[in-house]
Amino acid sequence: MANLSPTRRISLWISSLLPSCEDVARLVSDSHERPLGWQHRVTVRVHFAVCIWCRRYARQLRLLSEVLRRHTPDTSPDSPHLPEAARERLKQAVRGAQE
Amino acid sequence: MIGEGQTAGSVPTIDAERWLEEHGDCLYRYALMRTRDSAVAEDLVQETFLAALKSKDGFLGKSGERTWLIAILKHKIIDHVRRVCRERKLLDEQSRPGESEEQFDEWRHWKIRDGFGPMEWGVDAQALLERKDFKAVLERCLSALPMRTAQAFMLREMEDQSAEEICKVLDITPTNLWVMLHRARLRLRRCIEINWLGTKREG
Ligand SMILES: [Zn+2]
Repeated sequence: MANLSPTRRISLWISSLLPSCEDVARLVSDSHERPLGWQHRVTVRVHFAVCIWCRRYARQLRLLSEVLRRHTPDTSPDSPHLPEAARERLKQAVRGAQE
Repeated sequence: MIGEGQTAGSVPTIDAERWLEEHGDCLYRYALMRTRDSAVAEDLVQETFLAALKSKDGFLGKSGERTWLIAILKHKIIDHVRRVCRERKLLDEQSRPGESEEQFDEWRHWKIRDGFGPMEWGVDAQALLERKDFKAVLERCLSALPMRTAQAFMLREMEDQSAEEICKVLDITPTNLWVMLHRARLRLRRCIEINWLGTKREG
């Protein structure tokens, strides 16, 4: 640290104030899990103001969350079916259990 | 199978066989997506039906039948994941760190020029859910996640389990969990964007 030039120090200090998209993406993900501290909330807000990509990312995560919560299995004909043998075995097991 | 054939005509038999007809495939798909093992999925469906027969009192009437069966299946799946984790069969595959981070450049910003920047999707949840082709892509993308990451993510986002519960089930720390969820989200949104929206735009 001691032998850094003043300009280098200033630029390091500035970049430490400007979080990367990767940091913000992590914070956005974390915000789905726990309340962020106020510093992190400010970081995200400030970054959103200048970065459309991270804004979209946050919107996509919210959308995915909602979709996944309401998701029911795909029922199109080419989705997997309970195999016939298993179905037969299940029928037997269910009958056996009822006796 | 003791004394088979003596219960002909009893009402419960008809119920269970109708369940199998009406909900068998659905439960199987549900379990298969979460366990990625057809033999395990079959067993879990069987356990679900047997448990359902035993606890008919929790039954909410015919309209809520599937929801009720899926609720039972969910518990069976979580028990299964817990068992597998305890037996250390679900190894923490060293998911290549590059897998999700490849979306960022050396400045750790989105690699916009290589097409890694998140696009405008321009849809809402309802529109997405109504599309069969989206569901197929979503399920394919979920199954492309590493197993443990997928388990953590599905328990969190689809089963709405608490972080505490998931950490217990998967035997991980909260920090592990947050990292796994972060990676899962990065990869999932990317996978969906290329495979679904990508084809929608240009196709
Ligand atoms: Zn950004």
